[in-house]
Amino acid sequence: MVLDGISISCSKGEICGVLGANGAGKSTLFKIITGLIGPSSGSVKIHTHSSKAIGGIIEKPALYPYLNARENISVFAKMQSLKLSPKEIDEQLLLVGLPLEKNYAVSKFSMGMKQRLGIAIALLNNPESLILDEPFSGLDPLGIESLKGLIRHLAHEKGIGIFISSHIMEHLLSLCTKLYVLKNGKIVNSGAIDVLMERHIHQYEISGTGLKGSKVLEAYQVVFVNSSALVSIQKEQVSKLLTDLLKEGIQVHGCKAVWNMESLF
Amino acid sequence: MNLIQIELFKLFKQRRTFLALAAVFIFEIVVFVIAYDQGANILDVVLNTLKDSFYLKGDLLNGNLITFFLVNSMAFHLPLLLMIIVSGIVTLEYQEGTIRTVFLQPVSKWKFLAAKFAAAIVFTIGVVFVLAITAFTFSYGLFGRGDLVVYMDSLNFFSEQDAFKRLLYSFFSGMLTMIFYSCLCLTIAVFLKDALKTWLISILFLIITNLTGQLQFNLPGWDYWFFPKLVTTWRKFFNFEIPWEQIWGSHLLLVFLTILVIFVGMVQFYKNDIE
Amino acid sequence: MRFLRIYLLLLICFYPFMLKAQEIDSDLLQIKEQLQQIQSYTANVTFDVDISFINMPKKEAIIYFEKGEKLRFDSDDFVLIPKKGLDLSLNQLFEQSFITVDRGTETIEGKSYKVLNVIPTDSKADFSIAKLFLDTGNKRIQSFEVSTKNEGVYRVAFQFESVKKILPDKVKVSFELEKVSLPFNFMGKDTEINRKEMRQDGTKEGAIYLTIDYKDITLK
Repeated sequence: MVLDGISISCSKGEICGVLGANGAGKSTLFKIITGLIGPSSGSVKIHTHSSKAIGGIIEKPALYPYLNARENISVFAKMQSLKLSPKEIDEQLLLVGLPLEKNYAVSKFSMGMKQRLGIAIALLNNPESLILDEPFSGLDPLGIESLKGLIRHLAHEKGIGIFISSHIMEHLLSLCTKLYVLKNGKIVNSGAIDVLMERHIHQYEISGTGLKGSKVLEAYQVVFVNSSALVSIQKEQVSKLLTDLLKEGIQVHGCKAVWNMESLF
Repeated sequence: MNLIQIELFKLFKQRRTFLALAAVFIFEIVVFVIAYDQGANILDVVLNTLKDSFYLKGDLLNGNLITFFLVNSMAFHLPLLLMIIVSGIVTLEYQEGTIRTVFLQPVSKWKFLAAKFAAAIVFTIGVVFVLAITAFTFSYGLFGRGDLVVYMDSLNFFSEQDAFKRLLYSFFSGMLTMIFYSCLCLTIAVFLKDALKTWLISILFLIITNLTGQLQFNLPGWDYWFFPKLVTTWRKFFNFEIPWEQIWGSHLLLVFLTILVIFVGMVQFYKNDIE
Repeated sequence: MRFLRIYLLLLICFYPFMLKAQEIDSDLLQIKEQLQQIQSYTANVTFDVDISFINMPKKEAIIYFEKGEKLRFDSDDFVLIPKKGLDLSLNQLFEQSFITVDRGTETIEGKSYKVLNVIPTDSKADFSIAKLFLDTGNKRIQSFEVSTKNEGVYRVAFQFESVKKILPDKVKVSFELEKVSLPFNFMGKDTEINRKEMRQDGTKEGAIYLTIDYKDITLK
């Protein structure tokens, strides 16, 4: 059994994350939602009047490599009886930040450009929701940030409800308001990000110079790793700790919440 | 209609389509050269017995004979090339993953595959048409016109006009066979999804059909109903007396089998999940 | 004396036969003289092949005959022109010296014909013996059978539309052919096959029917 008793939801303008290891069932879940495969039990309910309720990219953006960007959009548009003028096609390209002058075949596109074109095609016919399966896979850090900007724009400006899956938590945390944690085909945890943080973050990683000699840190449960200190602390105590360290003259470079993966999964 | 246009657009945007068409032309040229060189020898051997008793007035190595050689390419070479191109109409979608992208759009499954079958049929008709036009044009241009001699179970001589008509009929008849092969190949692709496996099974089918087509048994209806004989119905146009009833019957059966193959492909595709 | 009597007796008994073998039959001589008047002719000929392993529509050709010269043919189509049997004035049969042997008469389709054997006396002749059926009433050769030295036996039968005609309007030429059994492989893989290996079912009888329409006939 790949999936068991799954129930998820996403509202208009919301970005929801599905976090899971490889093989957890994220892609299968999205395939069922989009109707690519049928569930053995249960149903998918999509409240919409639109002919295309959900757009998406599953696994990777699959495009016709021998066609250029405009031709790909034109072909997928015609398939769903959507008549797009050349101007409208260009607008679609601009919406996802693809340069208009790149007229060569998609086979020569970078992964980032393919993702954007995939999203442009997913957005054809104005779906109310978008499903992006591992959209950051294969992208460099700049590409990831750029794509995140596009996703935020689509959700906040266009009001599109977006599901994103990833096995890398940091990608989802900076984008999503809600998170589903998938393990062995089951939802083991879910909720708003800040609620989950409350429940599953009990340590913070503080990086800086001279942390080992800090007297302030002696009052806490600390594990030193290279030039960082892993401090067991509640969220509310973080500001006070940082202030005390600064007063002590410790140079703090960064402070990052550390999720308790065991309790999250 | 949109979907069929899209399929044909995609087909002609791929380099491999043009490579296959080029292969057809190269094949024709090779046949011209070999037939010109070997054709005279074969005619000499076949007609040598007659030379003892007859003067042979007129040149049998002419455009009609060369076109006949090209018509024979519909036994193996042309369906082989067609199957390689046509199978890609389905297998490439799975290979590239574009099948997922397609069905993430509001596209009907049966319409989508029906358009692929239609595009395959249109493409096949086009290729046979081009083969026929080029065969007649270049054969007549290079070798001139004349009577046609064909060895079936006897030496059959056809006058120039009669030969042209028979060759034309055989192209039309062969077109039905090529359409069958193309549709069969697509259905195999629906089941197997993988390009290499589809080619192997399709080619195996073609080889077995060709080999078993050589068998002769004195069973009633053997020439009529046995499938490998069905796919070479176009050869019957070179019997001295054209067996029209048998030919029409074979054609109807071939059309029925083509529809059956399409139906099986459609049902399987509808049932398949898009992985 | 006794031997002389026996010799004379034998001579008297066999002399008629000896005369019969060594003379050229007078009827044949008349026919030969008549045929040798023909200097030239042109004719449209329709060829209808009747051989079991050959299917061929009727074909047309023009033949040009000039006495003393080789027969010429002209055709737009491909035509099978029989090597033997087109010698309508029988020049080839009569060009070398020959003797005739009377074989009596035979009735064919209710008509009686004089049967002669023609035996060439010149070794250059390409046939060893010919059997002629003479229509003595109309002074024509009705049919003949020729045993050639190298090319087997062939039979020719003439049909005349009227009693006055010297040259036939219809001709049937019958001969023997080896059947060819060869798959017609356009890739030429079979060109090296030995003809002996190909020969199956032995030889076959074949015939070709000619319908002749003379355009002009020049007589001496």
